[in-house]
Amino acid sequence: MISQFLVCPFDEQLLSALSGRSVVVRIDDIRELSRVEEVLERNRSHLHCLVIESDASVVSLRYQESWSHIPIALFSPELGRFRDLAGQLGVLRKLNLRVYLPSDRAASFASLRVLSSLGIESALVFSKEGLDWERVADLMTYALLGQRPRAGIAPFNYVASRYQHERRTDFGAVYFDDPHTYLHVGAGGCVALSDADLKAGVYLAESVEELNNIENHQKFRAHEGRWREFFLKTDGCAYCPGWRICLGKHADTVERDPGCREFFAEFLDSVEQHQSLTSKGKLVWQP
Amino acid sequence: MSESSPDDVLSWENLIYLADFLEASDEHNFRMLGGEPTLHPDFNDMVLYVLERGFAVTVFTSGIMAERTLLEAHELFKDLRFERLSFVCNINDPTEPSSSTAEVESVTRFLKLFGDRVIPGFNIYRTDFDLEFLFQWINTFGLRRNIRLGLTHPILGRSNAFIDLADVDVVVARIFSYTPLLERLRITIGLDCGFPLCRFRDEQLAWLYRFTGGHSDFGCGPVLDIGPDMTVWPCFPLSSFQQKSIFEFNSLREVEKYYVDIHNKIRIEAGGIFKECDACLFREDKICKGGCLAHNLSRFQNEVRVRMDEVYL
Repeated sequence: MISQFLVCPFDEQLLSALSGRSVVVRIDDIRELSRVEEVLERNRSHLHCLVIESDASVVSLRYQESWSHIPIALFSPELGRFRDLAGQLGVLRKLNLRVYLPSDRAASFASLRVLSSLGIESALVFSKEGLDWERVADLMTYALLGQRPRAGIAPFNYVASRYQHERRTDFGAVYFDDPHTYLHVGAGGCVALSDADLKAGVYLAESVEELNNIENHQKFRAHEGRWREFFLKTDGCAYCPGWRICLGKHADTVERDPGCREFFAEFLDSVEQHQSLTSKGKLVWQP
Repeated sequence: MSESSPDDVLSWENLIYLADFLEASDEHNFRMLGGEPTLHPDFNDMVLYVLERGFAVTVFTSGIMAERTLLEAHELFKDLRFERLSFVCNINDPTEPSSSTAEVESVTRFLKLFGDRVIPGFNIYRTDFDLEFLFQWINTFGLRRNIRLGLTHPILGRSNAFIDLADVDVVVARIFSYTPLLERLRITIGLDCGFPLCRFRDEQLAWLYRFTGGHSDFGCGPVLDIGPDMTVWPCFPLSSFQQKSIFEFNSLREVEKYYVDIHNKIRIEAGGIFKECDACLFREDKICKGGCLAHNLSRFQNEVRVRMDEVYL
């Protein structure tokens, strides 16, 4: 048995092969939602989360209160006009929903604040190139140190709620990119450590049959120790003050865009400040 | 939602910060001023957002706005209660040469749609002002039957039309010349800040008490304005005086205290707008604040710099 959730496309045959498991199903059309539910019920599978990768703005989709029991991760290019959001806020607040918006659109930074301030969980999706780290830092400060309690913005609140100074904190799970929590299964049944690996054809296993023993798989174990490679470089990411929460996620671009160093150092400081502000004080012995 | 905002336009990020700031300060009213706030490209959406945050919104407007903004606003807000969204509309006399036909048409278009949630305002900047057109508009458009009367004061560091201190008596007399009409039409008046108590006779004060339920205030204190760049200043006439950034404060109370302290220091230099203010018992008892501080400060700017630093621009 494996502990990971399996991320896969909505493919009835594949879902049948994953019968009885906990799955994350990806769809790109919200109208497929009820069909996904039917198929999963038939296969007695557990839906950990439904990922909707939409090309449309958040407000252009029509939400239903009856979906409140379905965990939804909605990836959208933009929020849309506030007046269109206002009409659906009542329903949106009742949903088990996190809205993901991309960092390469300037409007996302305001939109994430709007959603958060109105009680809707959200997440910033980091683009690979051209990140405006100053805006990311402002958003992080808003999320962690703002004046009013509000819904979390991932990965900031995710890290703040899990960070322990003596350990590494990986926020990859926010984006279903952490093999300890999620494994990715392609339509043909191939298993990969990440969506990127799946797309690149780098598989952990060729078939879902091999899933049960996956953690003993050589490639999986090799991935486990991959973070140590950063310590082999004398000026690598491991020497950055923000290493414990970044874990080299921007190693490919740091030479061209070193702004990540400053950001993650500030992020770490803010996380510690956030924790000190929200800590419950001394805990005495418990019976 | 727009991609980015120029510096002279309030951004969504700053709007949200201000909503948080006011909420944390336990303030439940959100007042939007300008310039002309309806010119903001996201005006209607921002009002909706602030309403959604639970604030009551008051918009200070000239009523001159783009037709599209107006029609959208009507569609979005027509069902709201007055207590949730109101407008204070400073209305100019349409017979004044400075009022163009297009402006008057725009204002009347606004009043036709939003009249029942408009508190009419009138700024007095000359002694021979006329309020009768306002009475007519109140009846025609169903405006709220309370006129906010503002006495114009010098704007520190700028040249503007304002009522000379020697003419305050004339202004007060002119206001009270309308009392028979006000009574007959059942319209009340509200005095904005900076009216000095001593310029009202006892029978005028009695009339004010009777017809405003004792709500008249002869005050002058910080009525905080926050700009799109998050600069804060004590009030409109002092818009270039002792500016700070809102980010330097943790609550509205802190900002108010900061400016009240400055007000108090200036009142030590000169108690009020008249010489008699220094020894006035009503000022001492804080029944009257001694008129608008902008008058005192304007006077100081032209003197030799011998006073405390805070009083200078």
